[in-house]
Amino acid sequence: MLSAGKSKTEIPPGTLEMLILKTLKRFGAMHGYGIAKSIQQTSDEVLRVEEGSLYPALQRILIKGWVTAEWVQAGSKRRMRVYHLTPAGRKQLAAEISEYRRVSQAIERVIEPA
Amino acid sequence: MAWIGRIRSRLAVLFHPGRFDRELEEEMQSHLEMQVEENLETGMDAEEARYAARRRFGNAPLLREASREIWGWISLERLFQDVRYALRFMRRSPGFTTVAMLTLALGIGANTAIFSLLDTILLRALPVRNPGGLVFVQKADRRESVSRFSYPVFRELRDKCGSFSGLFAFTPVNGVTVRSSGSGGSTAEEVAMGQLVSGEFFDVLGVSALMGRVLRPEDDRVQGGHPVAVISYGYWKRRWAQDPSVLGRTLAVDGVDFTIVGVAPPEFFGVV
Repeated sequence: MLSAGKSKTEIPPGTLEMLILKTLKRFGAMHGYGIAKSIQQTSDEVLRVEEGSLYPALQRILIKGWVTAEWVQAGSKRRMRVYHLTPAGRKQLAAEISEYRRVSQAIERVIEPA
Repeated sequence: MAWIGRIRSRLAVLFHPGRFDRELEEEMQSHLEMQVEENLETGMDAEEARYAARRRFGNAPLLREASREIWGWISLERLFQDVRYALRFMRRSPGFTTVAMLTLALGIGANTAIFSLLDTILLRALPVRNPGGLVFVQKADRRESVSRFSYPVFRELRDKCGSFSGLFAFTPVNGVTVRSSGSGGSTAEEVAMGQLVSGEFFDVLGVSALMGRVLRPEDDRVQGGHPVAVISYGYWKRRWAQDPSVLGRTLAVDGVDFTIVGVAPPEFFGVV
């Protein structure tokens, strides 16, 4: 679903987990759809979260214990799985952000004209 | 202790794959529905909204598979599938199955039998305190098939060996005639195997008696003084039915009376 005129970029590999953790930290507990939308909106529609990578990524960080999941009733017939950030996830997020900064600054220095 | 919870949730996925699938399915379904609702709000008609959402979502079964793969059980599940398939196949052709099983059973059985034999004879360490520390002394003269030391030489070696904690002598006495008097005055004569050993034997090996006592260095100081014997557990069981009154009885070995002073522990079979 490309919106008119704007190109959407796939999220660079390895950063999706960081973005999910950051989103959960900023907005609190959320379901998968909310996380995807939120990343899309916060990035001014530049980053597009594919469901095909979102759910595997959620499972991955669930296993690692960075988030917990619980089912909550939404409306009369729908249940939604809501993810919470754990303290371990918080720590991981900080580590990933600083690592990301380090790498992107390094890349910046390489491509910047001298 | 987070890892315990992690292992538990992994096992939950393994043992309740149905629930895992259903939950993922439900989660994706609600995702899809929310997408459809949003599409409707942007003015699409119902058909179009549904189609767009589905297209965006991509290949749902593949996605489910990918999510499951993350839990690391896919290979195990495939193994289960293979096993189930194999069992079905075996049920369909019982003749082939029987032949294959017999072949395997015979092959494995023969191997096991030969291995247990070799294990006992060659591989198993002696059941003594420090089997690795045992050294077998023999003469360098290869012309003799059995290395023998005279008693005086043994005594010299024993008293002057500084490098070892002890030295004992032994010689096998196979095919000796043993006459023993059982309980109730009955006597029995049989051909047995044994070892004549010096008094330090059990001390150096670090083997203690199951019952009674083992031989002591004092036992061999006087020639022909008071011959004593320690019998093996197997012999005690076979010949005396584990009768504790065996201690003190005599055992005539080739006509010489030995007094039984102890029973060796079950795992001890002497030194070969």
